[in-house]
Amino acid sequence: MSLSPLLSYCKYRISQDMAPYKNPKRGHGRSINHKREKLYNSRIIRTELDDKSFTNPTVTNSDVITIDNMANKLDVPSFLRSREFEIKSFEKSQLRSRYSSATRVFQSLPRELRRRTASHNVRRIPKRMRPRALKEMGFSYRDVKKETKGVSESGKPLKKAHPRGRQLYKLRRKSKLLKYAAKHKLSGHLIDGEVIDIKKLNVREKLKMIRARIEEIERTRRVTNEDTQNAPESLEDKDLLAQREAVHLPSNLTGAYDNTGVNCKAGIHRIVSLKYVTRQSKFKWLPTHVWQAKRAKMIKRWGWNIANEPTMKCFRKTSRSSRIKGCIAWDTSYINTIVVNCDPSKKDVLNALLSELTNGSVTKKKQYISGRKAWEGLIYVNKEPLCVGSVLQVPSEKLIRSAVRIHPSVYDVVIDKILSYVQDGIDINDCRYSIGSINVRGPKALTSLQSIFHTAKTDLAYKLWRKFSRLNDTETVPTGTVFSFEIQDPRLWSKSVIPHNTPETVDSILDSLLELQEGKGNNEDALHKLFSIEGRSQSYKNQQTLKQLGKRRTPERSGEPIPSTSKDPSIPISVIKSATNSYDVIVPWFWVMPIWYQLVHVPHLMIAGLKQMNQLAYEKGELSFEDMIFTRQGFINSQIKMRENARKWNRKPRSKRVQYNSLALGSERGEALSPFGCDWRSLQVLRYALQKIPPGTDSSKAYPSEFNKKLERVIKCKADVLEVIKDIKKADKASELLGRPLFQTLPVRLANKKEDLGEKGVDIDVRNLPPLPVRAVYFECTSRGHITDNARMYRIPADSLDSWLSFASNEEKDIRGRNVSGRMLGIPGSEYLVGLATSATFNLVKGFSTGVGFVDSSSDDDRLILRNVGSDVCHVCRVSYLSSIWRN
Amino acid sequence: MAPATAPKLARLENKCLVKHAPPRAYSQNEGSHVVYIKSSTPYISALKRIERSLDGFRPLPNRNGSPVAKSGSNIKYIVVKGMGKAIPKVVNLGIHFKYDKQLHVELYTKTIGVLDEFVPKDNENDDDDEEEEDDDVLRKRNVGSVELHIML
Repeated sequence: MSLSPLLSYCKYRISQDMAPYKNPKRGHGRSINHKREKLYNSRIIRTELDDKSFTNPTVTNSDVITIDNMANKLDVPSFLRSREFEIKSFEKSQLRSRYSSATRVFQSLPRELRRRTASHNVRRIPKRMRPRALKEMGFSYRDVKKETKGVSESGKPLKKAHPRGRQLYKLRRKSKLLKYAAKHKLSGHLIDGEVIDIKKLNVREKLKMIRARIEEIERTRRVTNEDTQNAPESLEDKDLLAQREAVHLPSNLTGAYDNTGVNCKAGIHRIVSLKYVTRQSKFKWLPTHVWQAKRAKMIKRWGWNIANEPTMKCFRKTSRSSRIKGCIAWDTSYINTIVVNCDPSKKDVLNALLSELTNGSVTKKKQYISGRKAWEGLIYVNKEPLCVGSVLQVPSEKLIRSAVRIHPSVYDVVIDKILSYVQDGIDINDCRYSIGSINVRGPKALTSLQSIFHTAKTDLAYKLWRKFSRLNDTETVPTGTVFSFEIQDPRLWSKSVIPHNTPETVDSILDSLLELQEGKGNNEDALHKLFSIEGRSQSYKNQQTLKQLGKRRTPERSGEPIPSTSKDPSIPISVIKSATNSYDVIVPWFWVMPIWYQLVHVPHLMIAGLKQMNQLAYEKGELSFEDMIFTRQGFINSQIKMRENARKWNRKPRSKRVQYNSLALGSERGEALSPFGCDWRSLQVLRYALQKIPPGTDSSKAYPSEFNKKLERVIKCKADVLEVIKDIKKADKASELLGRPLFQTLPVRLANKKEDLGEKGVDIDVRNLPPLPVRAVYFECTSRGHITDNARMYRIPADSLDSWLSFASNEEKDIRGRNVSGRMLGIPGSEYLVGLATSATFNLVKGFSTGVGFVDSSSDDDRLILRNVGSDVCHVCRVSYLSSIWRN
Repeated sequence: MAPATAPKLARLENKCLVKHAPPRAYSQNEGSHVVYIKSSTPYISALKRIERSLDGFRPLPNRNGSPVAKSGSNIKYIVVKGMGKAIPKVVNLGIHFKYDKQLHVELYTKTIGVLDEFVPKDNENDDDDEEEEDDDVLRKRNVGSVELHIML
């Protein structure tokens, strides 16, 4: 039997005679449109209709014709050959069409290596792929012009017709500077006001004079310093002297210097280039800013320019890198470090300070006071929780140093508090521009750090560190473990290298972990260097530029590290295991970039931003900065998000936006709370006002409101409560417009256990409503469904508890045996509304929706109903209460 | 003679136990041939995960038509690991692959050291802040473990 009838069903079919489509050839032997030809041919299955096995068929192959009156017979060998050909071509075409899909060569690159603009620019593709890329674009590699349209020969976009953006800025800047220069020239003064005849001077000569004058002033200043403070007595004097010396340290070409504020706030005052003076005036740059800005979307927050998220999509990759393989790195230099230096005689004052900042949890345990472990938890000022921070103590007999690390949003409050403790024997260094940090998280975190930190001095601490050179660590090393030691410039090595140690046994690793808890991983000397001005300045001494390092790298030693000399600095660092299962690397500010540059070349390391921090937190059921609405800054953050959402919604045309006010939600109409975010103020009013409804009132009925003598609404039923919310929102808005400060006390406060809302006699007053106690919860969706941020949490109504629970366990079936839709159970009324979800979405670890949020502390149900904003579908969620936010 | 068994370690009173994962070396490509089973891993999920890694070693035709295995050809067996409460699950998986799938299976027993951390319980003494607390206690513990080798 012929296969041909079978193949005739195929969409494309040609006979063997019909040659595959070929384009007219050009001079160099390639067809003009090779790609299209290939694609066309890949869809073709060749058959052999002109079958030789029939000795003499007609065109239609129907009649039996005889040759020499002999019956027509089948030529078996040729018949088999024909079918073999057809089967082979069928199989080949299957493979061909699989591999000839319309992909371009840059798509075969891993996503990290792809560049912006999807690389239609040939110059942006790795060299090994360029011939293929050119071919795909219809050019030949042998062509004279090996380039892409609109791109210069070096791969940069062709110049625009007229300057714009940065160029325009430069021009404007130049004109301004020239104006200043001209003004200065005309004035005819040098610095001291000494008048000279400017007509006789040219600019170069004038510059020379100014420079000489500056040098002279500096020389005299140094001499007077040495004279007056020959032997500085107090801690403050010592630090001030060190600070002055650090600024004048002319020891490197990189421009690195220590910039610390002694007993005052630090600032960046030194102008490196006049051209860019205005650049960082409001929002400072992290040490790795230029590197990050090319690869991430930046956001301006808390006085810093911080990476918000990588340009590359990375939701899944982030989750996987933090759990399964690889690791994630953040530049967290925006976290401010404040070092408190304390004379041992003033130990009590230091302890009082730390006790106040940490609500007593640092001073409670000896492991924190003795510096064996680092503490991490909530930082308080005046008993108000502010942010997550950490404390590391460096005890010694001469001088105790305590490093407090805080979130930049609360910098002003905390530093003012700490500065109020300054006295004789206690001295504060504000290191926000002199100590930076990098955070690395994931199974490979420890290994990747191990591969870039090398040293020549092998002290006990470093040897202990090396024991974990291959550890896959997500939860093996306990939180708060501290390593500190000195390392060499990581750029001496051309790539990351893990030393070839003999593999450690499980037992020896556990023993080393126990040793670490005794503080043996801590080189006190290194910590003192890291947290002192002199120590950090020393580490910048002779810091090499890339050019200098490049000169030392000789071709015959390629692949090996550059041999270090005695002049090369050693860098004091500290590596701390933090509560988020990540490693905080604390380093002097100007060493962050060299370390970062080495770190990002470790294979399988990805960079991330603030968004990813938030994502990882709620995936693990923890609270991130965004979720901590019980702190002032967190609350402000949620308000900002709410307003932004409202603004976006308002900008849309009416037909394109969800009409939240007319949503039919069970017996109610419209969202009771603001649909644009977590409206804690309204929740607070709602919860307190609901308590004022007299018991036994029918919630389904509404009466016209009554007012008392003070013209306040008397709460008699649920409808009154909803009106009260509107009243208070209106009053808030009015006082905001009058310029009165809103939220002097936050509408919510954190409660760690079940608390009742108190007496029923709480007055529903705009100003004096007590904050609503809320508990942090983690929830998991029990059924299908996608819960998003700002979802509303309802208590399950007692009368329909059974049906909701059976719905949750997927037992509730309809008449046809299918799962019941949540819609059939209705939507609980707003009297059941107890909380709001701050962050929620599909969780890749669990395989269903999870999230974190806060509920009114009177609730201790293990299941709650969640409803997304603007939706009438409810989901039942299992809830667990986060009893304490941070284990201290 | 009955085998000598180590006495069971008692929990510390009034302390919260934080369990730490046993130390293991990081390896980038472990995912292709090592499957870790924990007590909460559903049996069927484990089965599918092992099947998927077995599939990785089955040759499929590449673009030239010659058979090539996705995960390479250096690995001789797939490792399934489980400890403590997950041991019966791993053994059951072994039985499945031995009898239902007719594969050659080897089972090894091991002991693995883990670290227990005892931290003070929360909210016990909220009122008296001044009271000093003990430091966190770290303790070694040994856990039984099995390792399954499923030959390709």
